[in-house]
Amino acid sequence: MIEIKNLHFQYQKKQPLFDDFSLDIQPGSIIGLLGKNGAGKSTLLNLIAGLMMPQKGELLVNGFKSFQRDPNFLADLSMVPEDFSLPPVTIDWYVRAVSPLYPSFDHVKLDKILEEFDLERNSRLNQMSHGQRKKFIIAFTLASNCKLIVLDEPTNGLDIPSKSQFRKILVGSVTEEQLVIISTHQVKDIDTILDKVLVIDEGKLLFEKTMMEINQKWFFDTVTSLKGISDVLYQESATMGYKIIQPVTDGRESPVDMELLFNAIIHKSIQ
Amino acid sequence: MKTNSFFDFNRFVLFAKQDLLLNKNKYLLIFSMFLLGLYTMIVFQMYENPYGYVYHHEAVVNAASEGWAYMNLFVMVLIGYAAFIGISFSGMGSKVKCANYLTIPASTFEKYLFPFLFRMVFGLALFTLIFWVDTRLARLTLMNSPKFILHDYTIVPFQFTMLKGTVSDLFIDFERFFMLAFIGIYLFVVPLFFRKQALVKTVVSFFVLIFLFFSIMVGLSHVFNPNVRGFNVDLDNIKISDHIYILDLLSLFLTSVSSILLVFLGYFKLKEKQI
Repeated sequence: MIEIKNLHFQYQKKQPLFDDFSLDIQPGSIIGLLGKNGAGKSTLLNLIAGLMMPQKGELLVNGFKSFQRDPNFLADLSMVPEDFSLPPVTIDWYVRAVSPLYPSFDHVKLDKILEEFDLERNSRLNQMSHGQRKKFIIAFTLASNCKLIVLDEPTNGLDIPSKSQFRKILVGSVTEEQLVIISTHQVKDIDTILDKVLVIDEGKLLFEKTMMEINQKWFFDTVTSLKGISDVLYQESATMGYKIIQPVTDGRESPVDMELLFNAIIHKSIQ
Repeated sequence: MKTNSFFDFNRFVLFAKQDLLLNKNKYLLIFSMFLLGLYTMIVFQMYENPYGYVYHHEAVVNAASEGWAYMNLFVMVLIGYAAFIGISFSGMGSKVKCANYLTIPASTFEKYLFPFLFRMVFGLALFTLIFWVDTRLARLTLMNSPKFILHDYTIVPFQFTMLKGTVSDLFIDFERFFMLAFIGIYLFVVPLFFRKQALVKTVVSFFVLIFLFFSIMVGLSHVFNPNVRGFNVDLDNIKISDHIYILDLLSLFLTSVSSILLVFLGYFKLKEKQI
């Protein structure tokens, strides 16, 4: 689905953001793209979406060179950007205007998602709150049934119930042919729905593991004291003691604490 | 289903439809504002200076020159039309809108062709039609006004032939066409090269270009005509035919070549546009 080979990209008069960067992602999964501020997450998404040109190397999405912006490539790409602009029309009008450009658009699915998000088809986009507009864009993107769905900070601006609705809707609507890439700092909002985690830092792919691999390798726990615990890979102070990561030795499993995992990766405590 | 990557008629229609549906209020507002604004201006001009719009009963006046003032008013149409063209890619200054536009499932050619046809071709037809309607409405409004009855003024109905100059020559027609086409294409294409305040920068750069052109003309005048003094253009001594001067030939060459070049440059600029 996405093949990146020896990618080089840098902004004018700045250090290279990506140098000899390679990545291969197959469809059928929801991927979390994590990284610190300025790590290059949004740039990588823009490169994948064909909005920026790789200076060296190859970037193929579905066999298309993304920057060529072939209409067949664009018809299978749907993106929820962090900042967005919508015209002053009703949801229904917008859908009527834009959906015909997406050959796989599913109106039944859209109605279902709109209902779950409590959005009316006759609501005017310019009179809705930021969160409601974000929900509409997410609904439209998922209903487009594009093979590649790119979500940049999708939960920013969503209220607490909407975040859990978003998780439920996303998991329920993604098929085996699709690939969803979510870039976010709100790792807690998405930690239960990810199939795979990618962490980039300073233009390098620091970490690439499936959730199954993470579960098999590391155990996440909260303890009141570190006394008597010898094999701690990474620890952080918490209100009730310490949050820790230990290697799995006895086959036991724990829910993944994505924030703790991310910090451990950034501090190079685990790889 | 894979479709032609460069141009697909059905996809082009869908792209055009989505643009018109999403921007219908904006377009309607522009056209209605222009209709009303121009109407007000024509009524004001006709009322204040009726001489250029009415029939003259004196035998000394050439009948062909009746209604000559419509030509001056038509300049307003060209200014409105130029502004309409100049804002074709106004969204490209915003990163968000630019990303939106570039990811719409249509080819770069379709994204370039539609505003070109809609703004430059349809826009010209519509703005000219609005002018025609406004002149007729203004005529109806004023023909029974006390001032016009008192002076026995009869307003000449506007006709498109009034826009044609007194000189009838195919070469001159071509020259005018390419002059206008160049201005239109310049305003259409050049904003793509700027990120912020694109229209303002385009207009400023246009005047810089005109200044450069005249500077070259001044230079050539000094070379070919030793009588020229200072910053003056005088190339009238080099004639090609009765009506055509070397300046006309140069102007036709530059505007036609530049127009074609700009159209291509604009396409490739859009194709390689990044956010």
